[in-house]
Amino acid sequence: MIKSFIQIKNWQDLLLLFVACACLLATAIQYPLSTTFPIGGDAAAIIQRVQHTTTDPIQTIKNISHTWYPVSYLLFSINSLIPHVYWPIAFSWWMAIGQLFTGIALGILLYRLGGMQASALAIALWAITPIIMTSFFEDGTMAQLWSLPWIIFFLERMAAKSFKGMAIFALLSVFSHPITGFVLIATLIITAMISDKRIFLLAILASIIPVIILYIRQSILYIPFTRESSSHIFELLHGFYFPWLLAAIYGWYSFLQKYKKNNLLIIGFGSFLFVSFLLGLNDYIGIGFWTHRVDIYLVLFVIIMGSIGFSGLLKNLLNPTFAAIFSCVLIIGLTLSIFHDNENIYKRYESPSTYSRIHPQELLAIDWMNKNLPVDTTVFTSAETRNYEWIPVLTPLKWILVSNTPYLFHNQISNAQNPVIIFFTRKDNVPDSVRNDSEHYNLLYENPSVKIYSIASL
Amino acid sequence: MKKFSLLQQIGSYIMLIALVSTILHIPEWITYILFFVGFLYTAIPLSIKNVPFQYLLFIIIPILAMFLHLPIPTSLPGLIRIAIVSGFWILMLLLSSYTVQAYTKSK
Repeated sequence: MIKSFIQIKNWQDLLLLFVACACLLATAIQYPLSTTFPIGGDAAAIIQRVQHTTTDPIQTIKNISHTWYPVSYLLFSINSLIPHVYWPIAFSWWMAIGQLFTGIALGILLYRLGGMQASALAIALWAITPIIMTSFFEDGTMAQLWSLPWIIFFLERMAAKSFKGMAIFALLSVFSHPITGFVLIATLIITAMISDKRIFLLAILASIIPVIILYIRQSILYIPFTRESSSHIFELLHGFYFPWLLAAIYGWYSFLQKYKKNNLLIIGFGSFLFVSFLLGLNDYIGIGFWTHRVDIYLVLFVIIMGSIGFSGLLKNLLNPTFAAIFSCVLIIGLTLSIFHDNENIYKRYESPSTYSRIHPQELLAIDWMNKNLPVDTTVFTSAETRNYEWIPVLTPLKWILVSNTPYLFHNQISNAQNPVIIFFTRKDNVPDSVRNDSEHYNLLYENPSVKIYSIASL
Repeated sequence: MKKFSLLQQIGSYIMLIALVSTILHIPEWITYILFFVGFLYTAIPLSIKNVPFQYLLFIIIPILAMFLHLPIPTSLPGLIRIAIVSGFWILMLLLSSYTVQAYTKSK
């Protein structure tokens, strides 16, 4: 495949590929270049697990082994090799790299399935997904974003009939993110049941480990949720992405025509469609569970088939030069529109008045703690805002959540070294019991958004 | 370039217009009609019979699932409800696939 790629002499395809890659790069790096701090509540928790990889690798291994996303964490831990890494910035760039990697994976898959034009179109269709069709940047869902390339490469290996490759990428997917793992295992099982009994063994092997994990951690089955409808699905069915849904219908039809003798491939992709459809549209079947998280697989299917369909239509109708110019204009137009929309979204997140992420004054307070508090200080906070999670990331101090029970809180304080309590007052008001008790709580630092008290023995 | 019949070419043009019309925010029902007509022009003349019915089940059954809601108690946790619904419709997919396969073989 690499050889045939190098030998491409068709300038129209190369132009389209160049434009698609430029658009992918533009919308991906727009995020780290437009924000000074990561968006999304999960970022701090993710960084905490791997930030001491070089100084305490055993602890990092322990941290990673207790998560659902070991492969994603392992890859992210590479960032600790960067000298004097500033984790919030590293996180934003890592998300951008994940976005680029997924786009490239789609390009490789589509190059195999539909040729260079389809490959370029797939990259372009992925480029225009943030933030209107995917919320990875906005949510900080690094592990799921970094699981997507593996499931795409799995499909690519399926197209290449490489069972070894399928096995490797199946395992990478399962251990990168459980939802991706579920989609892949369900796809494998359905494919095996309908088409190819050879991959049944692979399906069983791939499903044993998560089944064991699920058996041990049954609580996952009882995750509470509020019924929701995904805005991405609305955009897919009625809005911005609707044209590509139509193109995907024609693409699926063309795909069936082209690969009608490759039973494994058709049933494999059919099963992927079936699973991603049921999961992504689960609010339409009366559930509404985490639709924003699970709809991405349907979006991926639409991108894969949409690029095949649109490429097929262009080939049917237009001469290659006109088709390339038409596609380039369309892609650039859509990317500019998305770029503009995202610019506004990032500006909103950057604005201190909207308080959409950690506030600059909260960062100032954390910086003050870093410079002025002894290293053995224990910092107590409530759980009112997830911004507190940045304290152990940005300082070497020990961070503990305050217990709601007074007796336990007293115990926590008596066992702590140099205890301080911090309030991010935009979300977490200082209670009267603290404000009026100057005997035990001594105000050390304040700014309009933060108050820090040292605690004498209670 | 591959030679296409006139009907297919007309169908492809209509589908392309349908795609572009969505970008231009033309009412959705016009897009649906344009796309449907274009698709029929392209698909029917030569090759729809070449696509085995079995493959269409992958899209027909999930659409069916959208209209036929299973009576699962809403008090059950979300993941368990998803598991029940997915399990039921996967079973339907397998049963109908096997039926189609058996029917095709018997012919």
